[in-house]
Amino acid sequence: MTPATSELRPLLGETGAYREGHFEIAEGQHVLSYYSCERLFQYPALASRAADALYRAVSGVDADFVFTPSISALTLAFELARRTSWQFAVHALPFTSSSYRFPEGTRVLVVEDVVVSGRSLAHARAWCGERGAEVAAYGVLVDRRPEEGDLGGIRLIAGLRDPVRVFVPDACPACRDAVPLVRVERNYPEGSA
Amino acid sequence: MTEGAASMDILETYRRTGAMRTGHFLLASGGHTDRFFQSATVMQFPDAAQTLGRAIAEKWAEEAIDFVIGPAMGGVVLAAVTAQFLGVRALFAEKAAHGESMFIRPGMTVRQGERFLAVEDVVTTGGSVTKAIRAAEAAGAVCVGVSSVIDRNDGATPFAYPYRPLATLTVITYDPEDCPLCRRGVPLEKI
Repeated sequence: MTPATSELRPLLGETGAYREGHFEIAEGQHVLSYYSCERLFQYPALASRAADALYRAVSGVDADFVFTPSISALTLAFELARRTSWQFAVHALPFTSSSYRFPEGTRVLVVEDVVVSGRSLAHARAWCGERGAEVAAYGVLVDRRPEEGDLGGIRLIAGLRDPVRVFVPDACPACRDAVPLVRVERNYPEGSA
Repeated sequence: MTEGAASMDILETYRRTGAMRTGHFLLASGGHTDRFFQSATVMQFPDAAQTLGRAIAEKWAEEAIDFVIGPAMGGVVLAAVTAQFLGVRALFAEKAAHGESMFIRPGMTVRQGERFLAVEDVVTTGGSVTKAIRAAEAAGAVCVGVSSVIDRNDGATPFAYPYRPLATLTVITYDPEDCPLCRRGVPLEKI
């Protein structure tokens, strides 16, 4: 276990950010464990410890900007930017939507809380590229891809490796055992808390 | 420090980070203006964001507060930095996929009777921060008050709660038919 892993595992477990059960992460995609990092990030002192763990792993990256494509990783991205004194931005701020350009020659660390397929990172890389920035590396708190290593030729640095198996409902053991399904990430009911 | 001096500090923070722009801008309302504040730009600089969070926390230091909430996107980082200085939890509310309301992700904790502070970068009508307040109230929490970095209401509060902005700014809006910047031929920029 890396130092980051031994720091992050208890943080994620004790705050309930890591849960086991039966989750639908997208239409027809079921998993038996799930990370909802907002459970951890809502506590500033714990968010700070999680950021410290990832910071040690990414501090050597040759970048000057932290970028995140997701709201849920914003606290983590901000905390990394604070430690590195790099600038940071988040996808979907009003001004980033159309006319935003990164400063000339910007090298970006793209940050995510959890990566399963890597699609959001690839999308972020294209988004940064269109706006004049080069991705120096990806920094993710939890890497759940089946295989570790680079993503599309870009170095991916993870605080914690926890590969997840994604099941279609027909092959899902929790469906077979009739474990109640929890839908996550998408389509929160209005006004739910 | 007087309110005026505080406003000057905030303005200086915006100017230093390039978040206050001067020129000739077309507002969403259709009006024209000579000044435009991009709070998202301030929030790109962690030290500037922390300065704002600390200043808001100081305004509520005497109150018992359990968490700080901000609406996505403008209030998320601000809630986080304010909560850091208050030593309490930081939450955010975001738009639901359908409809106009906001929701708080189920993973974030809101307990019955907890007291919270709501924060937002720029308040004009207060619409989005009010939706964040409603989401927290729906979960049984009690709003202690609201703070914004910049208030554009000229001192009139759009909230039914104590409201403590860091800076109050009057932004002059011109009718496009009677705009001195148009008359001087300053190129108009859409924002």
